[in-house]
Parts: sequence; structure tokens; C-alpha cells
Amino acid sequence: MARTALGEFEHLVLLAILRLGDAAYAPAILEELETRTGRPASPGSMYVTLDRLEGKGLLRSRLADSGDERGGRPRRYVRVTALGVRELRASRAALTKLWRGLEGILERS
Amino acid sequence: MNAPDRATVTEPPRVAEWLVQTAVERSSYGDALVGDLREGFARTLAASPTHARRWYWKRAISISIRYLPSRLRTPRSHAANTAFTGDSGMTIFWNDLRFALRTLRRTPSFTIAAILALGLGTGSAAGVYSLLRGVVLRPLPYSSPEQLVMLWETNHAKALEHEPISPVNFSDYRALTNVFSDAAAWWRPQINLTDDAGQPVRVNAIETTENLFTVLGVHPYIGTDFVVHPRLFGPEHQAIISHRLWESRFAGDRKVIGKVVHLNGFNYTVIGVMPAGFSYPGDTELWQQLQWDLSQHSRFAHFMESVARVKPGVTDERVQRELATIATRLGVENKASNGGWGARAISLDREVAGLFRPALFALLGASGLLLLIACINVANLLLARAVARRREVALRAAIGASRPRLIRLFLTESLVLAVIGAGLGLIIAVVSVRGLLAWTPIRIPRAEGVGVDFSMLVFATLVAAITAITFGLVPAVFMSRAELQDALKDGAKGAGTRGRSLRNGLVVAEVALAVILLSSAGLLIRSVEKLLNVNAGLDPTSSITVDLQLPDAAYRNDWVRVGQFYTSLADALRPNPEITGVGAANFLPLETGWRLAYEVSDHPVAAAEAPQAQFHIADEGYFPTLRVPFVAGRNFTAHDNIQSVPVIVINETMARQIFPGQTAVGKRISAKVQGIGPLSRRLVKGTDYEVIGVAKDIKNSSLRSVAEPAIYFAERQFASIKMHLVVRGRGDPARLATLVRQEVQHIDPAVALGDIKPMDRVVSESVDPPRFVMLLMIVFAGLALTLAAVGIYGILTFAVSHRRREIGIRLALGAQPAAMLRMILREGVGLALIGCAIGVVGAFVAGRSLSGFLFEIDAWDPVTLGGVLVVVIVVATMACLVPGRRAAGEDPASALHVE
Repeated sequence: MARTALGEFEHLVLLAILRLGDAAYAPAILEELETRTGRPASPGSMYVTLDRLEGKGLLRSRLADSGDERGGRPRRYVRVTALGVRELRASRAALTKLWRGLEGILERS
Repeated sequence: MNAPDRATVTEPPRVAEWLVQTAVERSSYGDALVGDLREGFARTLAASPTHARRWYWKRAISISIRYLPSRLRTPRSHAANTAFTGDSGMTIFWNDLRFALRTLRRTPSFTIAAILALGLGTGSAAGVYSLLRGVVLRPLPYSSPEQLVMLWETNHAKALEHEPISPVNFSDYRALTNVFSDAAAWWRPQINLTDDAGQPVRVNAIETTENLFTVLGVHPYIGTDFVVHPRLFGPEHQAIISHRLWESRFAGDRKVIGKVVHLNGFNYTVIGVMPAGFSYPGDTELWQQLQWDLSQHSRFAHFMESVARVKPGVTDERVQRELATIATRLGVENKASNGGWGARAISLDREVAGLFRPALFALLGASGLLLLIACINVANLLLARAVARRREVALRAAIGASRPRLIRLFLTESLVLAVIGAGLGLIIAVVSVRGLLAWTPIRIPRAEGVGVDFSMLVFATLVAAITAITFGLVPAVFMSRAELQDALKDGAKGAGTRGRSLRNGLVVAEVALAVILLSSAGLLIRSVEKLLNVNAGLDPTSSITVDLQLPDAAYRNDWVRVGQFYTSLADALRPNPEITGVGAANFLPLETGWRLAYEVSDHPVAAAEAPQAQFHIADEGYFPTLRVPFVAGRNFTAHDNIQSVPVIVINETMARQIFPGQTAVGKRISAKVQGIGPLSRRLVKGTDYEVIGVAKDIKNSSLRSVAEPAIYFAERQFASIKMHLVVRGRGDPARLATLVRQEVQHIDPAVALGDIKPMDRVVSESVDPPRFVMLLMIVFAGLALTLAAVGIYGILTFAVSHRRREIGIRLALGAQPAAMLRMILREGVGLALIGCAIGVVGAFVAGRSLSGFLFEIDAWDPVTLGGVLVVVIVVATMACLVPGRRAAGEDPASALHVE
């Protein structure tokens, strides 16, 4: 499988999952994204992104039973895999390299 | 929409959940996703159910938009479009859906025709039902509205069925505490409102007993209700205003409470603002507290309206009985005033909807017929298509498609048609209802609250879907294996006789229904035309009327001043070159004057036997301005004033009834009553009035009935605070109104102009309900005719293309092309004739049910029916011509080569 760079939204989702730790499931991720970035994320995009990230092997899901209010449907908890963490690190390294030397321009105003 | 907003909602919106489930079905964690949404919904629910539903829908849409494309993309090939593969049901559904869309796109004329028919049928049914529901069926916004009735007085001897009631009688009706829990009454003084803010305005006001809002069960939006005194009136000058007046005049300022406004020159304190949309009765903008004692008024004066609340459990029959009992007793006790009078109660919702109730029910029937025609048309189209697709079906079956598989394929196609048709219907319903309400000149009661009602759309869509599905399945269900083999062998030749007779039957039904709608429309057109052509006794063209009422404080009891105002206004307007006539009267044509008793001098009669006539007040300009000729004697002049002999003009009917074979001019008449309304100068009892002229009748109750006897008093001798100015002129109505406004401003800036309308509108307004039914009926009939024509065209086009080989052989053997054309015409027109024969019977039944709207015309009107039949046959013939020409122009060689 060819290694592809992370998209911005994928990047954000993975970071949100890491922040949430064991409590990372879709509604919590949406909330985390909204509070941290200050703007609401589209739920549709988020679910599709979770599926895609899992397809790439960057996260793994675990189904757990939960209460009545879900109509007997399981909760899907997600965890970033080792590969996912590596990808994040690579992304950040790439970004940092690109940032270098630009602080003066981009932070001036 | 009627979305329930109850606290008991615990389940997410079903449609939305289904949408999400469908979209994420094939995703590995779809179940968890649906669970997430449920969990979120349960949490938002705590805040508000409406909010939660909206939240859920938003998520559902966002998610399905992301998931559906991948869902549709999955299978590339349609498994040779036939074979039953091992796929899951859902996969097959999606495949079928894509396939159906493709097929429909390949036959655009069929698809468009079917969708249009479905859309028009469902849309018109839903539109009419929305109106019916909004105007008639929607409960009135009062507490327990079904208990509310309006009270009217009746006098069968005088053919009065719906009269305002006397205040004294009202008190007696209200005392029927075993049937009524309470009752309120009011009358309508037209009043001028002035305040420190600006121009005086005329407002629709009622002066009402203090308990009106208590009886209705409504409460002010801000401020307080009137305090209810034991005799329902009080000395305080208090008023409550409508939400609309509050916004337009007082900019929605809450500080309006406690503000003093001048009503007809007296100071009133605003104590409340009613909720938005409340304007009962009619378009009331201001409610004044009653200032006088009902029981001290007269039993002779019928001028109040009344609403009563019936006690729970009391039947309508009992209410009418109790009213009849009390009326009879009053008739015995007060023979002069109450002899012959009765009382009746009419439920408030009927009263409010008036003639629009039967009108909308009639239209609902008509739109039902239209829906039926639309469904027949779709059925017809689908059947034609089914026959055309025999080969395709046979081929599919031959390479292994099972029957259930085929059924599913056609079912999907029908469903797609029904869903798109319903979508179009929704648009048509919304646009037509909004458009109608926005553009019609006709005043429809309760129009402001009419919204599109979705329950009817759902029903209409179901009917359409059932039709589409039933007939869409025909090719798959009715073809046995053997037939399929024939189909494969023979191609299109000679197939589908069974289908054709069914289709012929459908076309006949379509034509019959179209005849019913057309003849209903025809009857209404002729009635409305006759009504509009009724000679109301005046020439309503190029003239306007302006309502004027002088403020009480400055003018009350100063009759000289009142008279001066109107005479100087007329004198000031008359010289204007743009104006050719100015006059005034206190009642407009078609309005009923005061019905009062009088006697011919030298022939005194007991009060109970005294004849009755309508009392009107008019000036010398009134008759010439409306171009009402005199039969005998003379018109009023400026010299018939307070110093001269009291004079009257009577109408022709009165002259004929009271002085048959004699000259009425010179006779003397005196009124049996004194004290007409608080708006006019009091008649002096016993004064003799000399008849100086007899004017041609002006209709004074309705267009449909002959004029009642009428007496016109001279405005200069018997002034009225309230008058309708009539102005004839060369300019357009707006220009005339401006001229009047300028002069009124000039004479007394405190006087506000009331209603201004063209005189012909005064006449045509009374024709509004039948005209409303007529307009919509014309639309329905036009659509029905078009659909029927499409039906005939479709079946013949199909027949021609089907019989190409036969036609080719005939032509090759020497048949004349004209004979081919005749053959096709015979077939099409023959079907139309059978349809007409059946339709005529239906038209008669429909005409009978419309009789309430018909005027001087029978349900069985030969002219209308004849016209309709001619139209239908002409249209049917035209629909036959195109396919007929094609048959006649067939090239034998190529026709024989078909398959």
C-alpha cells in the first residue's frame, strides 16, 4: 500500500482521537473538534473519514455495548494505531520543515 | 406542517432514521453510527422535541449525502439486466433504481407525460384540500370553538333569515342560562382614530359588551381584558387594539398600554393588545368597551351581532328550541316590536367560512375527479408502454429473469414515477395555494392562516402510487410464459388485444370525467356571467365610492354642521373638470337600508300591521351620479332643506306595491319609529313626508333578488354622520380618490377617509364566492380536457404504430389514404362519444350539487351541455388527427418491412 500524506481533516480527526484517549467515539470526536477548532465539523465527513482512516490502517475500532438510549446499538470506540501515530509524526515533521523561515511573514500581522 | 410537538416524543423521526440506515447499510459500522444518532437525539430531546427533531434531520442529511454516492456506485453492471444473482435485496433495489432512471430517461415523452399528470392530479387535490382545511375545517383559534354559535333574528313573513339582533332581545337570549354559558354582543360604529402620532385613520372598530373575549376564550397579548360589569357596560373609556394596528400605528411599542387615543374625538385609554392574527369579528382592529345599557335600548332596532357559548353537552336542536320558545314569548309580550320575529343559532365556524364552505367542498370534489383523470392517464400510458415492452420482457425472461425479479424491476420504475410526480405535486400545491392567496381579488375568509396541508398530499400521492404500481406491474404479472414466447416469435405484430380494450375503457372514463368537469365549469361561467350582467339598477362604470364618517365629538347632534360638511364637500368637488358627478348616500347599492315600519298618512294602521320599507338617506347628486332614472316626479334639489317641506323619493317597487294604479307623487308617508341609529339625525315621529319622485329600483339586498321597497330621505333634511360618497369621473379611480382626499383635508383635516373602491367592485364583490369556484373549476376543467386529449392521442398513436403492417397491406392493396384517416378518426371519436354519453349523466349530478352557486340556470342546461360536447368532440378529433395523418401517409413498402 502506497503511503499517502494525511489530509488536513484526517490530521485533525487523528489528533482529536489521541486527545480523547479511551473515550474516543464519534460524537465525542465531533465535540472535541468543535471546541478545539472553534467551528463545527460535518458529521457526514467525520464518519466517512473514520472509515477511510481505518481502511488505511491508521486507526482501529472496537465495538462496546451501551445503554438503552442507543436502541441496543453498540458504540464504536476508536484508537490510533502505531502506524497512525507514525503518520502524524511524519505529517508534523513535513509541516514544520515547511514552516521554517516563514514565521516572520505569516505572524507579522 | 402538522409535526406533533409533544413532550411524549422519544423516537427519532422515522423517515430520517430510515434514510440514514439505508445510506450506511453497507458500511461496517453503520449500526454504531445509527446508535450515535439515537444517543444524540435522546440528549437533545431534553431541551426541546422540536429542536431534537431538527438536530436529527440535519445529521441524517449530512450523513446520507456523504454515504449515498458510494452506495449507488457499488455495482457496475446490472447482471445482464436480467438474471437473478445472489445479491442481497438492497443491492437489487439500487440496481433497479439506476436501471429505472435510465429507462425513463430513454423515453422522455412518456416520462414527462406521466409525471405531469401525476403532479397536476396530486398537486391540485392537495392544494384544494389545503384551502378547505385552512378556511373551513381548521378549528377557530378560540377555546373549545365547537361550542360557539352566532345568534341571528329571523322573520319568515318578511323573508329575513339572517338579521342582526336587537340589544334588548339579546339580553333575553343571554338569560337562557340552561343552554348558554355566556353571550356577547357588539355593533360596528365606523370610527376615526387620531392620536398625537399623525394623520387620522379610519379603523374597523366594534363597540362590544365587556365579555366578548371571555366568551371566545382569548386573552390580550399584552395588557388586560375589559373588566366585566354585571350589565356588560361601563363608564370607563377603554379600548383594546389588534396586533396589526399595534404594529402599524404604534410600531409595536409596549408603552402603548395606558396611552390615550382619540376615537371619534373622545379620549380612550388603550388597555390591551390582542394576539397576532386575532381580528374577530371580521377584520376588527379595535374593540371599544360598550358605553350604554343594552336593556335600555329598543326592541325595534336590529343592529347588533352576537356570539354565544353553548354549554357542553347541549345539542344544537335544544338550542334552537329554546331560542324559538323565548322568541314566541317575546312576540306575545311585545307584539309591536317582536311579533313574527324568531331567533336562530349558527355555529361560528360555518358563519366565518360562509359560502366558501360549500364552494371548497365542491372544488374538493372537482379536484378529486381531476386526480382520477390523472391516474387513468398514467394507467393508460403505462399500459401502452407495457405492450410496447413485451419483447423486452420476453427477452429478459428467456435469459433467466424470474417473474419476481421482473415484477421488482417494473415496480421500481412505477415507484420512481410516483415519487417524482408527487414531488412535482408538492411544488404545484405550494405555488398554486400561495399564488392564489396572493393574487386573487377575491376576499377569502381566514386566508392568512392557510398553509399547504401535507396529509392530503400524502393521500393523493398514495392514490397515484397505487395506480402507477398496479398498472406498472401489468406487463410482468399478466404475461404468462406462453404469451412471452409468442411475443418473442412475432415481435410487435398484433399483440395486446386484451390490453387495448382495457385502455379503451380508460379513455372512455377519462372523457366522461372531463365532460363532468367541463359542464360544471360551463354552468358556473354562465351563472357568474348572468349575475354580473344583472342590472343592479345603476351604472357602476368609471365611478368610485369613498366611505366617510364625521368624528362624534365635533359633529354629534350638530346636524347643521353635519349637513354643511357634506354639502360643501360636494360643492367643492363638482366644478372639477375631471369629475362629472358627485353624490352621497348612507347605504351603497346592494346594502340593505334600515328596515322600518311606516304608514301612509290618512291611512293609520296598528304598529304590528304597518308595512315595512328600507330607509335610506341620499342627496340630490346620488341618483344622477349613479345614472338612476326617475319614473315619475322629480329628484331632490338643494332647496329641499331644513326650512322647506319634508320630502322623500321612493323606489319603483314601493310605488307599485303601495300605490298600485295611482300616482305616488304627492302622497304623504310617516315613519312609525323615531330614533334611527346613533349615526343619523332623529326622525320626528308623526312628521309627514311628501313623495316628490319615484326612482327606478336599485338592488338593495342582493343581486339575485328583486329590490325591496325603499324610501330615500333628503340628506339636507335628515343628515347622517356616516355617508358613502359616490364620485363619477374621467380619471382612474386612484386619481378620483386623491381629489376627494384633498377636499376632505381642506374642509376638515380631522376627518379620515374610509374604504375607497371602484363602484363596479361594489357590485362584483357579491359575486365573489361563485366566481371563486368558477375560476378554479375552469382551471380543473382545462386540465381535465388536456389530459383526456393526451389519453386519446396516446391510444391512437399507439394503435397506429401497432397496426403499421395492417395499414401497409391495406394501402398496398389499393386502399385510399383518406380511408385510413377515417378509420383512425372513427376509432378515436367513437371512444369520445361513448365517454360523452356517460359524462352527460355525471354532469347532471354534478350540476345538481352545484345548485347553490347557480343563478337562473338549471343543472340540466342544454346550451352549456351542448357547448361542452362540441368542445370535447372537437378536441378529440384534433387528438386523432396527428396519428390519423401518420396512418394515411404510411409508406406501404417500409410498413411491410416492420419486423
